[in-house]
This record gives sequence, C-alpha cells and structure tokens, in this order.
Amino acid sequence: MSNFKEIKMKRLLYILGFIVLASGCADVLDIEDIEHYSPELVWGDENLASAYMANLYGMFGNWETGADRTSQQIAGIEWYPDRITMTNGAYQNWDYNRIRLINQAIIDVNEGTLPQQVKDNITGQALFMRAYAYFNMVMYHGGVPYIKVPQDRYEDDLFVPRNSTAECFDFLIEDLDQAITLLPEDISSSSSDFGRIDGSFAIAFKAKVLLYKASPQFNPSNPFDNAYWADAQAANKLAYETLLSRGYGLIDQYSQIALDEGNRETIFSVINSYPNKIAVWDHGVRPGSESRGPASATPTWEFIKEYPMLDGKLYNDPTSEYYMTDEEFLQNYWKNRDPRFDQSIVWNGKIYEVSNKAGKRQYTSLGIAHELDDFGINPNAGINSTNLDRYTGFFILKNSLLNLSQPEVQQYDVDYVLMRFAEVMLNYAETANETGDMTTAMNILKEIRERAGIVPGADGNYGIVATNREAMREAILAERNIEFAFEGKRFWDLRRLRMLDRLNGTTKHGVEAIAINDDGGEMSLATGRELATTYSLTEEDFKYQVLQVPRSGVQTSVLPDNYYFFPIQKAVLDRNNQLEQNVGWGGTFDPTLE
Amino acid sequence: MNSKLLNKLVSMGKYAFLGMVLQCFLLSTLLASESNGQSKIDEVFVAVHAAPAPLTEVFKQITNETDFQFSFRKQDIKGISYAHPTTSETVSVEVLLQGISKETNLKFKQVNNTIHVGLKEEVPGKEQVKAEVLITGTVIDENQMPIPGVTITVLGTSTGTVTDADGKYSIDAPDGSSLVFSFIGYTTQTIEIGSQSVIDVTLAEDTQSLDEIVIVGYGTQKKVNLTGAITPVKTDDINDIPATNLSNTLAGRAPGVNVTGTSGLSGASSSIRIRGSFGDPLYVIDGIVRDKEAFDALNSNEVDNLSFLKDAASASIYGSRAGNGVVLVTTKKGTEQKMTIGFQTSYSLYNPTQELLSDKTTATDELIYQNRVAEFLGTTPPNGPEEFAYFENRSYNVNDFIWRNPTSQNYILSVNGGNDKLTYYSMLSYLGEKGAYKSVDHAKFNLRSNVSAKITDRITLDLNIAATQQNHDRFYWPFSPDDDYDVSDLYRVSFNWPKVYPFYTEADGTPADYITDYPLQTPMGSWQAWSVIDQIVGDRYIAIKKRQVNSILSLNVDLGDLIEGLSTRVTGSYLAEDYMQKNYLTYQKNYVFTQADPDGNRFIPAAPDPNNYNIFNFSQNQEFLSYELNTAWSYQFNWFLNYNRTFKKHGINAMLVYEQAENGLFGAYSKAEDPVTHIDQDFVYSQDAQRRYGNGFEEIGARQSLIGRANYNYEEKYIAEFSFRYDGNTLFPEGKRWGFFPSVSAAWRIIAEDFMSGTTSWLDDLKLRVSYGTTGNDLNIANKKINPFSYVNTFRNNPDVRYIFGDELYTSIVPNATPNPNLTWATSTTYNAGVDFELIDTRLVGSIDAFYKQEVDILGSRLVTLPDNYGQDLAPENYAERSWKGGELALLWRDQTAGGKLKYSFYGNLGYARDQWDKLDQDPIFLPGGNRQFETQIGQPHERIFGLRSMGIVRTQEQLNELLEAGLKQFGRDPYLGGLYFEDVRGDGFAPGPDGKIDGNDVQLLSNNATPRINYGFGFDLDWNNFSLNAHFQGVGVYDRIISNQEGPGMRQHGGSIRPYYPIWADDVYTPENPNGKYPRPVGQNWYESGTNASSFWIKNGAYLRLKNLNLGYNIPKNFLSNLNIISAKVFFNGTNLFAISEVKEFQDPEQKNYDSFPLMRSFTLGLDVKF
Repeated sequence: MSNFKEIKMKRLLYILGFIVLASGCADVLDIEDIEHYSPELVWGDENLASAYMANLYGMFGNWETGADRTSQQIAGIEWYPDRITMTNGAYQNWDYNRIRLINQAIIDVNEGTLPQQVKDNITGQALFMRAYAYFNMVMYHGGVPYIKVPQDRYEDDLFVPRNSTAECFDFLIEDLDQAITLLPEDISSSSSDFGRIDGSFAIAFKAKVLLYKASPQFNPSNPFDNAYWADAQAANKLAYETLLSRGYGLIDQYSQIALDEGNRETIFSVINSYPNKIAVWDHGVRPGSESRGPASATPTWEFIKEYPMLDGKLYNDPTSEYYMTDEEFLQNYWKNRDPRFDQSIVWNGKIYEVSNKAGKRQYTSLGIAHELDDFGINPNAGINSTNLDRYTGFFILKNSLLNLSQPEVQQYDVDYVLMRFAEVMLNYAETANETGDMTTAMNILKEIRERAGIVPGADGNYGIVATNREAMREAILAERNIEFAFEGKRFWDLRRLRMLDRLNGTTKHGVEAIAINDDGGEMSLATGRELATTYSLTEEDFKYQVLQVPRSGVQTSVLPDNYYFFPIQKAVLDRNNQLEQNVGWGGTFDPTLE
Repeated sequence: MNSKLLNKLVSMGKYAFLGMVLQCFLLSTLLASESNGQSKIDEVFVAVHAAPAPLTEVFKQITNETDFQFSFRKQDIKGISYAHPTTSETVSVEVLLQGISKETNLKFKQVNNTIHVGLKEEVPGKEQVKAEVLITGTVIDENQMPIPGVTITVLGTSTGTVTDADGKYSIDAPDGSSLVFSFIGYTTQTIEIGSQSVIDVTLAEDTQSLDEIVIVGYGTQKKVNLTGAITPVKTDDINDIPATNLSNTLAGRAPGVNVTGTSGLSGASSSIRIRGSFGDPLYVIDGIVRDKEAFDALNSNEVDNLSFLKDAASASIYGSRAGNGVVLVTTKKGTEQKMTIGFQTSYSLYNPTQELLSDKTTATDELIYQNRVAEFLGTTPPNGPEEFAYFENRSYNVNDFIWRNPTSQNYILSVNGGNDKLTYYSMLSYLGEKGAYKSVDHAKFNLRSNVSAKITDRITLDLNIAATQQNHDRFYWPFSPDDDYDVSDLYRVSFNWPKVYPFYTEADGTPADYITDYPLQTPMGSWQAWSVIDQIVGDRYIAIKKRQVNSILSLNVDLGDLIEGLSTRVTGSYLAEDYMQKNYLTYQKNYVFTQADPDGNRFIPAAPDPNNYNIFNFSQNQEFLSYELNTAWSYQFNWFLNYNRTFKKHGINAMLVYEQAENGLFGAYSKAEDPVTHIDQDFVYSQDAQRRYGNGFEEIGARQSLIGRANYNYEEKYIAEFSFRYDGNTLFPEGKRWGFFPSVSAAWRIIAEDFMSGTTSWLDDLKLRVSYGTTGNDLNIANKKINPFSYVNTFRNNPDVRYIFGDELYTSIVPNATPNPNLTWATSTTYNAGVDFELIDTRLVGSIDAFYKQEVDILGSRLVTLPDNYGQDLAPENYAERSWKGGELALLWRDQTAGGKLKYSFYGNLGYARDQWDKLDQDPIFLPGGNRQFETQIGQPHERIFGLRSMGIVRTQEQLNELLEAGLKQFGRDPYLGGLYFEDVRGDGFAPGPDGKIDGNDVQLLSNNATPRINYGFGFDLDWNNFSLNAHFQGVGVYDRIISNQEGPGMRQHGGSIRPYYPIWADDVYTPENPNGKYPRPVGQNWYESGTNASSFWIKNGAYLRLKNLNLGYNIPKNFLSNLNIISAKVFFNGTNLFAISEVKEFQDPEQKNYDSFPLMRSFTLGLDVKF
C-alpha cells in the first residue's frame, strides 16, 4: 500500500518536473514593456508626434501673479542684496534639456513617415521653439552654446564653448525665418489647432527679438544709435502691418483683453480649461477673505501713483486738469484716473462684486476688514494687521474671474495671453521712435490711450507731451508700464533699456485706510464694522496714510550693474571647461554685441 | 501516578473540602511545571519491609506510625499482599501508596487524615489497554548535584512533569514508552522505560548545543556548522508586546540591526536596517521572497524562527536584493502531541512619551508672544491687562475635542497538535486599535493554517496557508500622503492652532466647549483656517483595506532508496494581495469669527453671522468620492535537491535549488465629483462625464535563479561552505541579465582540537569563522530600483505638462533618459570574521564579528563627462563604489541560584557601522582644488550635516554694535538683538575667506554622524517561582541629531506676529528682559538668524538609552487550574518606551522623526495567556 502510494507520488513529481522544465525554458525574463512607447512609433504616428510637441509647449508657461514683483508694481523686495550669485541658481536660464528635445524633433520628424505637410508644420514649430528658448537664454546671459543637433554622447565633442551673442542672434533669426516659411500663416481662435504656434506669432516674436538686439542692454556704448535699430524697425513695421492685415487689432474693452478668450488682440495664448488645465490667478490676487489664503501679489502705492489721471497726465503734473499735491492725492487717489486703473486695481471702499456678491465693497481698513484683507497699524484695533509684510491696502483686479465663488478660486482657467497686439504696437512704436519716426510712435500711443478710455484732450494727444525722442521714449516706457500692468514685462523693459538704476535703492509702500466720521474724527471700529457689513462705507469715509512695506526684513532693492547680464552658474562652468564666465562676474566673455 | 499532582492535592486537602485525591492511572495529560514544595503525605515516612506483607498489616503499620487512618471495605483488600520494590529503610507514605496502587486495583483518597481506599474504575477506551507504570527517580548533573526544573515528558505525548528542588521526579508513563529528559544547557536524553520503575539520570552539560538548529537561507543548519554571521531572535521575547507591526518589537534585539520607529500613530511601523545599510533588507517568509509589509503583517505569535542574515556569505544565497541583508522568518508548524489550544488576550493603553506640544502653551503664552513680536517690530504691544485678565483661566485647546489616548485589544487563538501521520498548527488573531485621534482606527486579522502530512515514510506534504487583513480608517487630509504615519500636518495644527478663540459657540456667541451648530473659523492672520475638530470628527474619511493570502504547498521526497542522504522538495507559493482605498470628501462650513466689541477686548466672539462664513474645500475643486483598487498576484516555484550525509568523520550537506517567480498587478482608480447630497456612496455623485474620472494600471515582473550550496565538515571541527546564486533580472538587457554571485566561508572549532583539552575547565566552546561573499543589487546610488527598460530608448507620458490645443487636452510624451545598453548588476562583497565562544560552564555565551563590505558597479548617472549642453539625463551606469565597515558584539550570561529557584540571564549586544563613498561622480567644485572640497562625498558617509556654524545669540548691545560696525549682513539683513549670528568663512562661489556676508556660501560641515553609528540593546530575564521579569533596553550612540521641522533642519517661526506656533517660542526665549534666554528671539519670521535652517545651534547629541520593553509574567499555579483542564495560564504586564534618557528630549522623543511629527507612544499592557 505504502509502496504503491510512493510510486504514485513519484510519478506526480516527474510530471511536475517536466512541466516546470518546459515552462522554465520559455524565458520568463522576457517580460513585455507595458508602460512605455517605443520610439519607432512616435514619428510615424501623427497623434504621438503631436503628443511629443505638446510636451514642449510647456515652455510657454502660464499665469504668474507675482511676475511683477521684480518691478515696483507688486509688493515684496525681490532684489535683496546678492539676490543673484554665481552659486545660488537664481536667474539661471539654461534649459538644454528642452533644446535637445526640440533638436531631436527636427531631426526625427523628417526621418519619419508622416506626410510632408505635417513634417513641415512640426519642423516650423520646433524651430520657433528653439529660437524662443535660445532668445531667453541670450537675454539672460548673453551668447550661449547654440546647439542645433542632439549631441551623441559617445561620438561628439560635448565640451562646446559659448557662441558669441551676435552669432546667437544670427542663428535665432535664421531659425525664426525658416519657421515663418514652414508654419501655417495664421491659426484662428476657432480652429482646433488654436494654441499652436503660427506664422503671425513667429513674425511678431521675431520683431521683439530684433527690438532686444537693438536695445541698450546689448549695445551699452551706443544704445540708441546703433545700426540694429533699423533692422528692428523694419521687422516691427512688418509685424504690425502683417498682423493688422490678418485682422489683429485692439479690442474695445481693456478689461477684457484676457477674459474675452481668443479675441482679435490675442497673438498667442496658452489655453486653460477647467478641469483639464487650470492656472493660478484669482487664488493669488484676491483678498484673503474671498480666496483660500492671503493674496500673494498686491500692487504698491508707487505703482498706484504711476497711473495717469483721466486726462492722461500724472496727478502731480501741474498741467493736468486733475493736479493735486501729494497729500491731496493720497486722500483722493481713486478719483479721475485712467480707466485702466479702475479695471486693474481694487482699493479700500471700492465696489468689488467678487464671488457674485452684488454691491460688495472691499475694505482693507484694520479693525473693519476681514483679517485676511486688512492692512494697517491703527492702534484702536488693539493689534497690528498680520499682513504688514505682504499687503499694501490694494489688490489686483485685472484678469480676475469674479464669478468664481470662494471655494472655487482654484478653478481659474482663463487663457494665458503670452503676446497680444498691444505689445506688437508698442514694440513698433519704440523702434519707430528710435529710428526717427515719432509720428508713428505718437499715433500708436494715442491708439492705446484711446482704447484705454483716456480723454483725448483739446490737442487730441491724450495727455502725451513728447516733443523729442527722449521724451517719446519715456512716454512709451510709461505706457508699457500701465498697459502691461502685472504682465511681468516692466523689469525686463528697464533692464533692456539699461535703466535698472530706476529700481536700485527703491522702497515700496502701501496705504492704510482708517475710517472717519463726517467731522474727520476717527470712527469707532464697532460703528465702522456695522456699516461695513452693509457696504455702507465708501472711499470717502476713510483717511489714508502711507506705510512702508514690507515692515520687517530687507526693505530696499539693490540692483548692481552686473545684473544686465546674469552669470553662468559656477556649477555649469565646472562641468564644461570650455565655457567662459561673463564680464562683470569675474569672467572674460562679453555678452553684449560690441 | 503523578507526584506533582499528588503534592498539590495534599496541600489543598489541608484546607479544602476537596481533600486529597489519589487517582492513579487516570490522568493522561499533564504539562510540565515546577514542583510545588513539600507536603504532608511525603513528609511522613514509614519503614518498609522487603518481604511481602498483607495490606492489612501495611495499613496497620501506617496507622500506628503516623496520624493517618484508613477507611476500606475488607473485600477490596482481601488477600492482597505487597512488597516494596526498593530496599531503602524508609519511604514516604506517598511512595508507599503509589507502589501499592501500581501493583493492585486499588486507589486511595485522603480526606483530612483519613485515607479512603477504593477500587479503580474501569475506564473504557484504548488508553486503558496499555498499562501505565509509575516511574520515579532523581536527575543529577555530572558533578552529582541534583538539577531542579528538568522537564520530563513521555515521548510523543504532552504528559510531563519537572524535577523538584532535589532533582526528584515521578511520572506515570505507558509501559514500554520512553521518557525525554531535557533542560536548557544540557544534552537531552531519551530513556526507554523497560522494566525499571526507578530511573536515575545523569544529564551531560550540552556545552556546545551541538544539535541546535538555526534557519539559514533555503534550509536549516546545525548551529555548530554555521560559518556566517546570523543572529536569531528569540520569538518568545516578543510575544507579549502589543505591536501593530512585527518590526516594532525588534529594536535592540540583534546586534548590527537598527530598528527605528518614528511615530506612535496607530498602524505605524519601524524601519529595519542591517549593518548601516540604506535600504530595506530582503524579507523571506517561509522561503518565499516577500516585502516589508508582509513581514509587518505577521502576528508575532505565528512566528517560529526569526533570523537576521547579516554577512554576504549567509545572505548571498538570496542573490539580488540581499545586499542589505536578509530577514528570514519561518512560521509555526504543528507538533506531534495532543491537541493544545492556546488563547492569548491583552489590552493596552497608550500615552505619549513626551508631553504633547498642544499642552505646553496656553492662551496667555500667545498674548505674550504677540507682545514680544510687536516689540521687535517696534509697534504697540497689542495685549494689555484686559486681555491677560480675560485669559487668566481660559485657553482653547484643539486636543480637548479630538485627542484620545489610544487603546488596543489583542486576541490570539491557536491550535496545535497531531500524530506521527499528520500535524497541524492553526492560528487566528485579531488586533484592534483605537488611535490617538478619534477617527483613527486600525484592525488586523491574521489566520494561519499549517498542516503537514506524512504520506509515506519517505514522502511528506506541507500546506501552509496564511491570510491577513488590515483595515485602516482615518480622517481625510490631502496635504500629506494617505499612509503617512507622521501625520505631521495634522499633528501641527493640533498644537499651533491659536488658543485664544473658541472653536464652537452657541447661536448667541457664547463660547462652547462642546460641538455645536456654529463652528468658528479661527482667525489665523495668514490663511483661511478651517475647523480642525471637524476635520477629525466630521463627515469625511479615508478607509483602507489590505488583504494578503499566501498558500505554500511543499512536497518532500526522501530519495534515500536511490542514494542515501538524497532528498528532493518541490515548493509552490501563490500570493494574492488586494488593496482598497476609499476617500470621501465633503467641504466644511465655518462661521467667520467676529468681535463682539471691535473697540474692546477683541477676543470676545460676537454671535455668528449666518451670512458670513467660509467654505473650506481642502484644496479640492469639487467634493468627491474615490476608490482605488489594486489586485496583485505572484507565484514562486522552487525545486530543491538536498544531499545530507555523514561518512564517519566527514559530514556533507549540499543543496541545489531552481527558483522561478512572476508577479503582476491590476489596478484601477475612480473618482466621482459634485454630489447631489452628502452620502458616501457613488450613486449620489454627478452623472456628468466631466465629473467622473478613472484610470487603470498594471505591473509585471519575473525572476529566475539557480542556487547551490555545499557545506562540508570534518568531525564538526573544520567546516567549509561554498554557495552560489545565479540570478536573472528583467531590469537588465539580455546578455547582461544574469549575474553569478559566489560565496565561500569556513569555520574552525578550536575547542575540538586536542591541544585545547587543558581549557575545558573554563572554556566550553570556541569557534572562528571567516567568510567572503558576493551579492547582486539592482538599486541605484539613491537606493532606488532603477526604471525598467532603461537599456532601450523609450518614451513615456509626462504628467507634468498638460496642454490644450483648440478645446482638446493633448497627451504629452517625453523620452526617457539616454539608454545604457550595458546596464547590469551592482555587486557587493562582504568580508566577515567572527568568533563564537562559551565560557564558565556555558554561563557566558558570546560572539564577536567584524566586517568590511564593498559595493561596486553601483548604478548612478555620470556627471563628470557630461556638460549641461548635452541636454538629457543618462540612464544609470554601473560605476559608483561605496563601502561599509563595522562590527558587532553579543554577550549572554545565564545562571541560576537559590537551588535553581531563581534563574536569570543578562544579555547585551552592540553594533557599529560606518559607510563611505569610494567612487562617485561629483561636480568639480567638490574635487580637490575646488572651493567645496569640504563637501566631497568621497571617503565620507552618505548622510552628513552641513549648515552654518552658529556663533550664538546676539545678547548685548555692545555685541550688536560690534557686528553692525563690522558691517556684517546675514542674507542681506542686519544682525539684531536676540538673533543668531554665524561664522563668516567664505564669499560668493564658495571662495575662501570671509566677505562680511553670511549666506549659503558660508555653509560648513557640522557633523559626519548624521545617522547613529552605534546601536545597542541589553536586558535581563529573571525567573523566580512562577514569576518572570524581562527588561529590554535599547539605544544608539555616536549620533548628532539636528533638531528639525518637517520643512527641514532648524526651528521655524511660522506663527508670524500672532502665535508661537512651536511651543519653544513661548519657552525660554531671548527677550530684552531675558537676555540669557536659551532660544532665539521670537520675531515671527523664518529667517536663518531667527532659527530656520541648518546651523550648529540646533545640533544635539542624538544618543539615547531607553527602556524599550518591560515584561512581568506570573504563571498561575497548577493547583488552581487542573480542575479546569487548563494546562497553563500566565498573566502578564508589558510596558514599552517606559523611559528614555537623551539630550534630544528637550525637544522631542529621541526616536521621533521631527520636532513637529506625531510623537511616540508609551504602552501599558495587561494580558492573559492560557493553554488547554
């Protein structure tokens, strides 16, 4: 019996052994790759090729509420001493990973099997992206190694030196010119391709590149009379006229430049759509009571003052119809301003119908406002505002989606407008002015101000008084400051024009509002609170005083001259001994065009 | 007849109505236990005669010579004679009556001083067929000294007894059976009864524990033949510890094994690191490669053996993944015995080892803090007498609503038994924990059934089935991972929440210390706060269920009929795992706090305004319900060929194994948003496709190996072992896939040499071991598994970029790193040398090991040859090298005293390990000549502390003036009174020499001992009568700990101008009035000089010593149990983390992860362990 069982068991064992040997021979280690695409697929399939390109589009960024902290527009001291060093990684633009992906696309798409038209379109986009990426690098650091072919790790010499800044510009323009020939001329906002780079964007961007090339940043010893201005003028004129002919132009309402998505002013935008792609704007600009937390970007008193009055002149311009002394202005700053002020800024007592709250007025007065909105040190409140280091008493209104309720502030999905026609116009105005065509410059400024709603005035000049090239230059710069408020352009304009001294040593301020009775005496906070709940307090029911912000820590901006070109990080230099450091940062490389 | 029973009954008879029962032959099972002292019946002696005498005469003699009387029916004893078998002059009445009973059909029963004589009843059943005999005797050692406490069992049964203080015993045993005599430290003897009724035994001291078996990779080995560094853990020591996870019981149990638990939250586990390695060791349970989670899921009671394989010679048999050592577990099997049922239950209470941070500050502290920051900022102090008076007896603490001291209950039921054909072990356990916060619960169920069947003499079959389920329930919280047991974010809000505002009020604004319909939004001054209380107890949760079922079937065939010593085994394991997670989120609505009187005390709440509220959305754009379901499977197949034979003096133990495993996983996630009402079921959620999301995922994997080992010994004196593993790994390309990892080791038992004969008086064992072993590894320099298919060019989705064209969201894809077609194994080589010794009659047992481990070809990305403009990451290459060195010491002293009544042992172990990089690409600035050479990794341990060197706090105006005059700027800021100031050593680009500016360039090396270099444990076991006491201490040394917040090193001042946030900012801080304060000044800023980030100011000696575990047990005496048919019962008390000594305690528990992570718990457990 036992013996019989044993024989049976042994047989079973032999069978098992056979099965195992048989299955073991089929190599279990040859598993399938279930989480990747194979490269052969990518450039033979239009969907995958599009997906490859979609990844690269990430380079165009999205809304950034604090973009203008670098200028006097937004509170916060970005330029504390030694903000930029060779080692801290700040203001480094060295994205060769993206360059490689772009270069790879240009080569691979043309080796693939897609239809020629698709190949051309992708090549055009990639060339534009390469120029765009290199332009930003050159704008930061001066000339960089202009790699055009993905390097082979084993075959190529990887230790490439920097191309001169001039060479880089040449390559850039070459790439853009080629891109313009390959890209579709124009993609309308109703197209399913809307959001892709088109010829119009490429032409406009090329014009901007040439503006930079001519600018003082790259030509310090001959800032405004160098030969590049003529090229810039030609390109900007072409861009302006071409786009105009393609239907681009200013829209009527300044307040709608972004909120009206895909309007005729938009040249290129990054499309947002909840829930697939959202951006941060309301979450960063709204007063804390209507958001998830405090605003991260608030306008300064300095910037408030820079808005013209309704007649286009500054409040302290004695020729202005609305001339005021500084003290008068402080108590009446909201009155008779350039309408863009009302469309861009929230102030204490202003009607601000956020979260669909009809008739709501926003308060910032300490003791009356919500603790996440308040700003001030009014001793009657018993405690200081906790926002003294980040607030100013003002908030950003521009581009805000007021209909989002408080828990929805993170659903912001307005398309991010990277370039709009107003910029093309002002770029053109600048090149025109520097090449002696003040009339064109003036006409463009007037057009911008007309749209803004500034009254034309008796002379029809919308308050612009510019009788020479320098004055016109200033007028254009001032117009850019207001027109592009919070769009992150101000610091770069000043840097391009070598005017960082205008930021160096500056401080920033906010304005505290304290509720007063009709007799001018301070109102009891209980009364103020009571009136505020029914939005019964208006701007007039407060008195105002200026407070420096931030209240603690570094309060003064420091911008040394070597910030006109940022350093190459030491770690980058260390990894490639062929790279030279910029002059001004202990190196020998001249990042200018001289 | 059993003397122990008799003794007990006699002693009871003196008091109780039960009297004394002499009931021979009827008891068939009795578990060994200690003898319980003398009693009357065997204190009374009578002289006996060798010649047969009628029983009437015998009784008469006893009656005359003692106080006892007999009561009997004459016919029962008529004609019966008795001759005592021994010739000793006197015997106890007990022995005499036992002798009579054995030879006759009589039984005796004592009631007070009367002995009743009756006839034995016939008991039906086979047990009666075999006659039982009474065996008595004495057990002595080689020095003729009696040994108390020796366990005597009848072979193959659970019948047993133990010797008394004089080494005497008596036991009933079936005729022809054998007795097994065993005692720790002595060789076990088995003696066939034969015709003897007195068996005196001399036990030989088992100086070498020659037959002790240790589990090793893919088998077992006699301890004497071990050549590697293996540390077994006594599982008995951990059975009473109420741990959620097995790893939590192991700290300090084995030298060179560092076990760290960083959180006391219910369900948290501990990390295990062997010999300073950075990765998890490999976990092997019943021969199957598993993971840490499976190891943690084990109940300590189902574990039979637990060993740490520390050197490569031991671990390399597991090849890949064994580079960080191996934790080897076998679970319990049935034993040939009558069915024994074990039941253990315990109840534990927990409380934090340190005062909860929330209890350290009050509303008043907050008022003071606000005033201090205002003073620093130069603004009016906001709080005056009115506020201080209001809060004199008032402070709002979140924990009053959400905290509970955790408790747990534990039940384990096991059944063990079998015969020579079939044995079984089954266990069912439940552990239920109620965690520290009211919504944190954890439950764990374990089931194991292990059955072995002997099919024929040569074939056995084992089936081992284990199942576990764990349920975790907790509050919803999106800001830390769902399995985060540090819950630092939640723990933080429990203490940093302002204490000056009520959490709930009545409709009229009266503060309530209970939950009402009016939760108030605490004014935070820095963001929209929520209700922490509702977060814990409100209508939202995360529920996780994890299940594992593992079945292992093994067939063992003895092929001794073909070749003697040959056997084969086939093992198949199938593992099924499920994971289910449900997240349910609803928003919170909180009323905005408004002041009743804005012109007066601002802390008095007004009645909540129904129109003024805030919705807290937990950063989720929609309310949602989500499910994640994963189901994973894997199998492992092993085919063993074993050869085990001894030829005279040559012993051979050889093995060849084929192993193959595959695994896979299916997973799916679904999320539904925007419910029509708040029910935690999917059907109430929006049917809009835009509000429903789902995705799925899969995993696959496989491995294949050939494993071999040969162990040879000559007279168990010279031992040599060779083993190898040939491993295939899917992470590497074909051709580079297979790695061969050999190991050799040898041992020399010096004690067995003739020339050592002179040392036998004090030296009992001495063995030298040396080993060399290699293992493979597929981890990169960060100890992460490399990505699959890194050897070919592939593209993947890039979740970081979402991009829309038109109105369509496009997938974005991106190539992976530049592939490396030469990808292959990293290899680590360990050299180990050790000594095992036993001294002074085996009282002192110890071992010492030293090791050097080198890992080469570690997978890392090359830097040196790659400028940035290359523009792509490289797949890792096999190039980096690192090494470890260290040693371990383990000592045990065991002895007994007071005639064996007090047994005690002391043990201690200590491990030291240090790692360093030998080859690693670094940026040139770190290389010799570079400005950051001081940071180079080469020759240095991986984890170090870098930061600014603090020069202390600026305490006086003179000091400040000096610094200001020198123009010192710290991160652009001027120094201030009460702030830290730092040593200026470098300028930009790390150029040497001070530059008057303190910034990142001034970072210095602050310590090389960022991880503990020394780990140790020690303790003692005491046994006295029925009491046992066990204490286990554990600690680390040579460790610099930098006090850290969850954001990183240093202490931050997150509270701005309104709250201390961390209690130390309300503690002994610098203020102008307290210039000698211990901590920097509260300024409400996260500045370096206010305490943020790494500086030497926050480095403390991280060494600690703690009483990890204390266990007091009491065995309930047998005489209380026997009538209940209970074999044994033990009550125990267990305490963990009872106290600790450490400099770090100034801030936190020495094991706690950060200052602001969830604290560790102290536990108190009362338990009962019964066998019947």
